[in-house]
Amino acid sequence: MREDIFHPGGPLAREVARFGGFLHVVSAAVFGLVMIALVLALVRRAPVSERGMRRGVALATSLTVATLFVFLVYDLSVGRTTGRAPSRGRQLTVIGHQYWWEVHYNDSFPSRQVITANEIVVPVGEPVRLELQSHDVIHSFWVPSLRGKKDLVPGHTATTWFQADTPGIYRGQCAEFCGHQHAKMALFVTAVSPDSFVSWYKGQQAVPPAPSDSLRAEGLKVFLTTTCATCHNIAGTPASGTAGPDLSHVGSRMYLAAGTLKNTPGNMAGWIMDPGAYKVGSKMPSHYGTLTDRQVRAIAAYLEGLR
Amino acid sequence: MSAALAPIPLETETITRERDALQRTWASEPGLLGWLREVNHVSIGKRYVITAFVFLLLGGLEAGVMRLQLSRPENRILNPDSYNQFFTVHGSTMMFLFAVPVMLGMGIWLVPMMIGTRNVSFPRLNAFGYYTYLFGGIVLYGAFLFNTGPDAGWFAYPPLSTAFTPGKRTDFWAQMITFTEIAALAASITLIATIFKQRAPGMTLNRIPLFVWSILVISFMVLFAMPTVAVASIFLALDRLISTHFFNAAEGGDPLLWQHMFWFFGHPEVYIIFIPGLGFVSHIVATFTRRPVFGYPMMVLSLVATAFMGFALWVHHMFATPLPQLGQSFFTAASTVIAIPTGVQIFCWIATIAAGRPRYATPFLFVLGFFIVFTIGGLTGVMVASVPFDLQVHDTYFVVAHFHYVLIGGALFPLLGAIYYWFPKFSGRLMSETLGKWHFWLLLIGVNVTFFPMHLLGYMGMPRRVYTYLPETGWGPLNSLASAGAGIIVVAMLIFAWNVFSSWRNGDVAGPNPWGADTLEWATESPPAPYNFAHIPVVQSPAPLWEASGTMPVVTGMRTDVREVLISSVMDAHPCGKHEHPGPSIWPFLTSVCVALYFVPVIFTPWGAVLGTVAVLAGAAGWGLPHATSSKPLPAPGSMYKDEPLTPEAAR
Amino acid sequence: MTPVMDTELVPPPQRLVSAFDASGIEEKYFGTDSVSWWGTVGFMVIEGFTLILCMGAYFYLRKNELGWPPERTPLPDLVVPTISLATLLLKLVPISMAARKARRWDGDGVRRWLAITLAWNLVNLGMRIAEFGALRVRWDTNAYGSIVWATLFDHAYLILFDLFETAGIALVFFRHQETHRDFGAVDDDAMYTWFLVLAFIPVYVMLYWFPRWT
Repeated sequence: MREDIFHPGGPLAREVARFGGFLHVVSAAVFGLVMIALVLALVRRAPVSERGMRRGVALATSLTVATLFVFLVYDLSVGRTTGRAPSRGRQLTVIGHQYWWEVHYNDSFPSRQVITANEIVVPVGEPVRLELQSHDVIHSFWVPSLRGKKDLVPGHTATTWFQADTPGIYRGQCAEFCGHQHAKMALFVTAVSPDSFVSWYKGQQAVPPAPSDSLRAEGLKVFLTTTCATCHNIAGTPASGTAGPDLSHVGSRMYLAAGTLKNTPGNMAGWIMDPGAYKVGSKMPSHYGTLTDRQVRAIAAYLEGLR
Repeated sequence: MSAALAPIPLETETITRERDALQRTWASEPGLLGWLREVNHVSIGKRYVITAFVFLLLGGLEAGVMRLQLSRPENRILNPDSYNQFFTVHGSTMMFLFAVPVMLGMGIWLVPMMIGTRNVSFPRLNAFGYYTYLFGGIVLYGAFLFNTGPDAGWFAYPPLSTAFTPGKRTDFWAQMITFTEIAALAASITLIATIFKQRAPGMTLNRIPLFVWSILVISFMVLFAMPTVAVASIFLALDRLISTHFFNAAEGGDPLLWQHMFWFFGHPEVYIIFIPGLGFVSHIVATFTRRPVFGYPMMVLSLVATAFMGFALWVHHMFATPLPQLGQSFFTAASTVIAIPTGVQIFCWIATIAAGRPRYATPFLFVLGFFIVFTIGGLTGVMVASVPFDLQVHDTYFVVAHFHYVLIGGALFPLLGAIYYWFPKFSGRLMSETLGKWHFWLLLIGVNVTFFPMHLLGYMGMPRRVYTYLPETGWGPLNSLASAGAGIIVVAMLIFAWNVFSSWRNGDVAGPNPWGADTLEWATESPPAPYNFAHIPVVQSPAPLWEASGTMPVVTGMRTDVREVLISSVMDAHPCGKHEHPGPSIWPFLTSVCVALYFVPVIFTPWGAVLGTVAVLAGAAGWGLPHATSSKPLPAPGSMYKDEPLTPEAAR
Repeated sequence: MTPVMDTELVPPPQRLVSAFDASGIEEKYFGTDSVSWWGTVGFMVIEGFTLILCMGAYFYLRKNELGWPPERTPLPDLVVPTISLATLLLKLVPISMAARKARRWDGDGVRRWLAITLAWNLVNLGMRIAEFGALRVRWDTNAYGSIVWATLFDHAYLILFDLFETAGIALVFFRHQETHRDFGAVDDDAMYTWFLVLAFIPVYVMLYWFPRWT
C-alpha cells in the first residue's frame, strides 16, 4: 500500500515529487549559505567595513531574487502540466459525507452505473476524471501517491483528475477537517490492469448473488425488516436507502467504515452491533438491544457474500 | 512660541522637586479599586504581557496533551470530541489570546518609553482594551472548562461551524473573537496616535527605533485585518443564532465567502505576530554587537512592504478550493515576492553582526536561534507558495511544521530574547544567564525534535487535525519522536518560568542600562517611574544614548501638577502642542463589563443585543460625561499656566 | 556614519541639560495636533472598512445567483431610502454650523446648532427604521436578505453612535461648564458625521440602485 508524495504512482504526483526534490536541494543550499554567512559573521577576525556590509547585502539580495525567479518559473511550468485536465478518461463522481466517500462510476445508461464507497478501482494508464461534491461539510480529496488535494465544498462542484501508472493500492485520507471522525475517513484507489478492471466493473454492475445458505437468507430477511434498509441500498432487493454507503458489493471491499476496520465477518458483526466503539460520532446507530447477536451474525454473513 | 535654548544644566534640587511632583500626579492608586482604575501604560502593558504568557502556558499544556494523544497509534487519552476542542482552543489561544496580545502588550509597555513620552495617547481606551481582551479569554476558557469549548477549528469553516455543530460551542468562539478584536483595535488606535503625535522632540521619522516602526506597521495592519475577522465572525454568529444565510449554499450563501474573509485576516495575522519579532531582533542585534543595525532605511521599507504584501496572499490558503487557476498564479507570485523583504532584513542583521562585536548573552542566543528556526520556516513557506507542491502538503503535518517554525522562530524566539533583554527594565533585576542558556539550548533542540519530523509525516500523508491514526499508516515512530520533543520543550519552558520567578525576587539589581543599549527606554530607571521620564528627552540622533557625551538634552517647562504630555508633529517630531491626559478611572473596566453584557447574552437570545446596546451606551455615557472624569474644566487659553511652570530660569 | 560603539559599556548620562523650553506651548483642540482627532480618524477607518467588507460580501454573494435580487424576492423600495439619504445629507448643515461656531469658541452658537442636530438625528433614526421595511426582504429569507440587512444595520449602528455622541456633547454644553476640549469634540463629531453621511452614498447606490441595473 502506498501513501507518500515522494513515492508517486502516477504522472501528476511524479511531476510534483520531482519538483519537490528540486525544492529540497534549493532550500538546503539556501539554508546552508545563510548559516555559513552567520557563522562567518560571528567568527571573523576583524569587523567588516561599511562597504563590505553593503556588498554582502546586495549580493545576497540579488541571489535571493534570482533563486525566487527560477523557483517561480519552474513552479508555473509544473502548474501548467499538472493543471491541464485531460479530455478523455473515465468520469467519476465522488461525494463526501461525514465520514465516508460515495463514489459513482458515471455512465450514460443509468442501469450501467456503478455506485460504491470508499474504494475506487481504476485501470492503470488511463486518466480518471473526477467531479467532487459534498453532501454536508467541506471535505478534501487527496491520494498522496497519485495527486494533490481538491476540496469538496457544498454548493460548488469541483473537477479534477488523476492517473495511476503502476498497479497497486494507494491510500488517502480526507484532508479538510470535517468533524469528529475526520481522522477515520480513508480512501483507497486500487489500480489494476485494464483486463482486471473490466471484469471487476462487470461484477459491480451485476445484481449481487442471492443468499447461498440459511444463515445468509436470514441475514437478508433481518436486513430488510429492520432499520438497515432505510439507509442502505442493495441492488436487486427492496433495500434502497441512500443515507449510508451502497452495500450491493460490500463483500468485495477491503475495509469497512472508510478504512477503519479490515473487512472480515467478525469485524462486520462488531461494526453493525456498535459502530461507536470503533468510530465515535459515526452516523450509523448502535444496535445494542435492537438486534440480537444471532441477527447481527446473520447480517454480517449475508453482507460478506455480496461480492 | 517655544525656543530652542542653549543647553542649560539642571540643578539636582530642581530635578528632585519635579520628580516628587510628577510622582504625586502620576502615581497609581492603591487597593483593588486602584488596580481597576489604573490607566498607566506600564501597568497595562505588563498586564497584557503577563496575561498573554498565562495563555501561552494554557495553550502549551493543550498542545502537550495532544502530543501525548498522538504519541502512538489508536491512543485513547483524548476522545475525538475532546481532541477537537483541544486543538481548536490551542490554535485560538495561541493566535488570539497569546501572540497578538503579547506583541501589542509589549508595544504598549515599551513604545512610550522608547519614544520619550509619559503615557499612551488614549490611556482609558488602552485600559478598556485590556479588560476586553481578558474577558474574551475568560469567556473562551470558561466555556472550555464546562466542555463547551469550540470544536470546529480555529479557522471555523462553515458549514461545519454552522449547521453541523449545534450547541453553543462555536458561539462562544465567535464571541471570543469579537472581544479580542475590539481589544486589538483599541490598542492599535492608541499606539498609532502615540507614535505619530507623542514622540520626543527631534525623533524624526528616520530616528524612530525599529521596534516602534514594527509596532506602527502592525497597528495599521490590525486596523484592516481585525475588522475583517470581526465582521466574518459576526456573520457566522448570525448564521447560527438568527438563521441568516451568509455561508449557507442552499439559500444563495457561500462557504467560500468565509474562507476569503477569514484568510484576508488570517494571513496578515501571521505578519502582525512576527513583524514585532523582527523589531525585537533589530534591538538585540544592535545592543549585543554594539553598533546600529545596518541599512535602517531598508529595514523600515522592508517592514512596510511586508505589511502591504501581507494583504495580497490570503488565497494561498485556499489553493485546494474550486478557484480559477489564473488567479492562483498571482498569489503564488505574491507569496514568493514577500520572501525578499524578509530576506533583506536577515542579510542586514548578519552584516551588522559581521561589522560589530558579538556578545553571547542570552538575548543574543535567542536571536541566533531565530536565524536557524525562522530560516527553515521561511524556506518551507516559499515551498508552499507553489500551487502544485502546496496541493500535496496543504492541511498536512508539513504545514503544521512550517507554521510552527515560522511562528516559534519568527515570534517566540525573538519574544523570549526580548523578555531576557527587557526584563531588567520590567522588574529592575537581571535574569539568570545560566538558566537562560539552559532554556535556550533545550528549547532549540526541543523545537527541532518536535517539529522537524512533522515535515516528513506530511509527506507520508498524515493530515492535520486528526485525533488518532491507525498503526498500518506507519506514522507511529515519527509521532513518538515529535512527542518526545514536546517533552523537551516543556522542560525548557519550566526552566524559563523558574528563571522569571526567581529572578524577579532575587536577581541581580540591573540599574538603568545594564546592556549598554542605545534607545531611550534605557535612560529611565529600572523599573521606570510612573511618569517614565522626569524630563522628556530631546533626541539628536538615531542612537541617543550612544551619542550622549555625559549630558542628556531634555525638555523643560512641562507641568508637573497635571498629567501633561508633549505633542509633536508627525514627520519631524517638532513640538507643536500639549495634551492633558485623563487620570485613573473605573469606567474603562465598567464599559468592558458592559461589552461582555452584550456579547455573552446574545449567545442565548437575540434580545441580548438590545440589552447589550443599552449596557454599552450606558457604559459609554458613564465614561464620557463630565461628572465621571476627574479632570476639572480647563481654564481659557492664555490663562492656562497660572501656577508658574518650571523653566530653566525659574530653576536657577 | 554612526560610530561603532567600543567595548566599554556606556554609563547612563547623568547631567541633564535643558535643550528645549516647552512652557510657551499650549494644547491644541482642533485638527491633527489634537490626539482626539486621531482617535476619531482611527474609528472612521475601522468603521469605513467594515462597510467596505459588507459591500464586498454583497457583490461576492451576487455571483451565486442568476438574478438579483434572487428569484421570488422583490426589488427594494426606492422612495423611503431616498428620503432617508436626503435627511442624512441635510444633517450636514446643522452639524457643520455647530463646528464652525465651535472653532470660534461661540458656546451659544454651538448650543443652538447642536440642539437642531440632535433633533434631526432622531429624524435620521426614524427614517433608518423605516428603511428596513423598504428592503422588502427578511434577513433569513436568503443570503441576499442577510447581506442587505447586515449592511444597513452596520450603517444604522453608526447613526446610533453618532446620535449618542452628539447627545453626550449637547448634554455637556447645556448642563455643564464646557471646556476647550468640548469645543474640539464638536469639531470631531462634525468630521465623524460627514464620514457617516458620505459613507452612506455608496451603500445607498448598492442597496437600492444596483439591483435595478442588473
